[in-house]
Amino acid sequence: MKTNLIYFFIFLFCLTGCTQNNLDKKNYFATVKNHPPLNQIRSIDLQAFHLDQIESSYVAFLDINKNNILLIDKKFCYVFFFDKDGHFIKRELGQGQGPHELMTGMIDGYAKIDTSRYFFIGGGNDCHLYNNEFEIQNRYIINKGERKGKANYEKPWIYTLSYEHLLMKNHGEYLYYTVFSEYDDMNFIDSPSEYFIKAHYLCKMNINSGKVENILGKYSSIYDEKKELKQFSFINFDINNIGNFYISFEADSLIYEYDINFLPIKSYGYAGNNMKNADRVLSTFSDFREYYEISRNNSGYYTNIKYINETELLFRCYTRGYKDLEDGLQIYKNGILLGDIDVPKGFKILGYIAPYYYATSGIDEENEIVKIFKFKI
Amino acid sequence: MKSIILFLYTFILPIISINENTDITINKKFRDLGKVTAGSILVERYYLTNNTSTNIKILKVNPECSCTDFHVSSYEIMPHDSIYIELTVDTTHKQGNQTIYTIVKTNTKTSMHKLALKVFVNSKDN
Repeated sequence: MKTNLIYFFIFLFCLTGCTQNNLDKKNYFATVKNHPPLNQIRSIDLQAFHLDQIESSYVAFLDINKNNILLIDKKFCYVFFFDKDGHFIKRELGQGQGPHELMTGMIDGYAKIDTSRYFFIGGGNDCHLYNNEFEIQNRYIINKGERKGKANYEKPWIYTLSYEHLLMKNHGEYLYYTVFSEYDDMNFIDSPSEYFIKAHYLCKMNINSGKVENILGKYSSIYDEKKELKQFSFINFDINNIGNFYISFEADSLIYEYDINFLPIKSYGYAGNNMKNADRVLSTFSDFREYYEISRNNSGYYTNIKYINETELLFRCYTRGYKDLEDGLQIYKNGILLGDIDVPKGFKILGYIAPYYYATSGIDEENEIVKIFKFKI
Repeated sequence: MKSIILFLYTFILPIISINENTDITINKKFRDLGKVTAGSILVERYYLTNNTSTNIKILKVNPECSCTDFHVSSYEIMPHDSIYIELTVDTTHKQGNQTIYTIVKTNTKTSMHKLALKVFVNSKDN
């Protein structure tokens, strides 16, 4: 009798735990509300140009800051400035120990801080904050808190930077960056069911102290439901000037908006045109080693999201799969789809210099070409 | 005074300019070797040519991956001469698309140079 009672309580405990987790997760998502698409925008006139040739590794981030196009060289640790037509203006930083140099071997992540400061992170979680004149302001290592107690999904120290798809954005005195867990059994390959319910994907770090103050976000329920989507679990996000978040999962057609406290505001979004579904379930590390790239090359998924404060437009790009020669671009305003159009492969919105939106189709490293597009809407 | 300025513009500045802008050339610094089988040892030689009239020093050769070993034929490049850096890359434990970088530092204005080796590594079973 006593044993039966113990089993009953264990069962009850597990049940409550599971229900609680699901309830917790539901609280992370607003009810989906989709307005009929307007299809006002049927095409855009892309004006293409190249950035001036420079002495760069051409392994780089691209960004727009004020009226300049920036190329942040990951290997050489330089920041190159170009005018809005792609003409070289100046070069800043570079590897070194001086006050105007970057004391790291390589840049793994970059963010502009309130348009007048620059943040860089190196391979050892080393953070470097510069002012507008590229004078060093602060250096520290990310502080994820003391490694004490049993590991669980609420401990920041189980998470590592999402190096393959590292996004860093600033709002106020905080930096938000994408993370994932590769901790023992707490990763999406060994324990996907648990991982996609319990894990977080965003770290909130104080840019003055380097302390991780919170871990945010829960994965879309699409990952609980469809096992073939594990290899499309990167997060794309942006933050607007009042601190609202726009979250897009690679495998989910919905866009999730959150306020500055990461409380859900609304969910909306339409699937991209002619996106090829993933058709391969990857279960083991061996599967991932063998088929990860093939599967990603052959399938459609959402690749990036960008909110433009000046015009209140939200852009989301997607790839359709290997054989399609073009990617797609969705344009939303206030949650309403204004258009879904074809764009060159690898298309990514960089920013806005009135009256043009700026985008790229990536960097041709071999030929040392950076192709930029500008367009009006 | 005017003649000094004219002399500087005519003779000195162009020399400085040449030294600053065309210091080193590397023969094909980005190489795509296509498909290889995991476990293959890749050996690639990159030639660096000094285009200036002064000696250039190789200050550092820094492979980003512990899979890469290197040999430098000389750490000093004489004017209008060449040296080579030979990279040996072990592809054991590699899989899929890989770009392996080695960064070279020199005492020139363009002080950083990239040597890149791109391969697609097939597993031995394929």
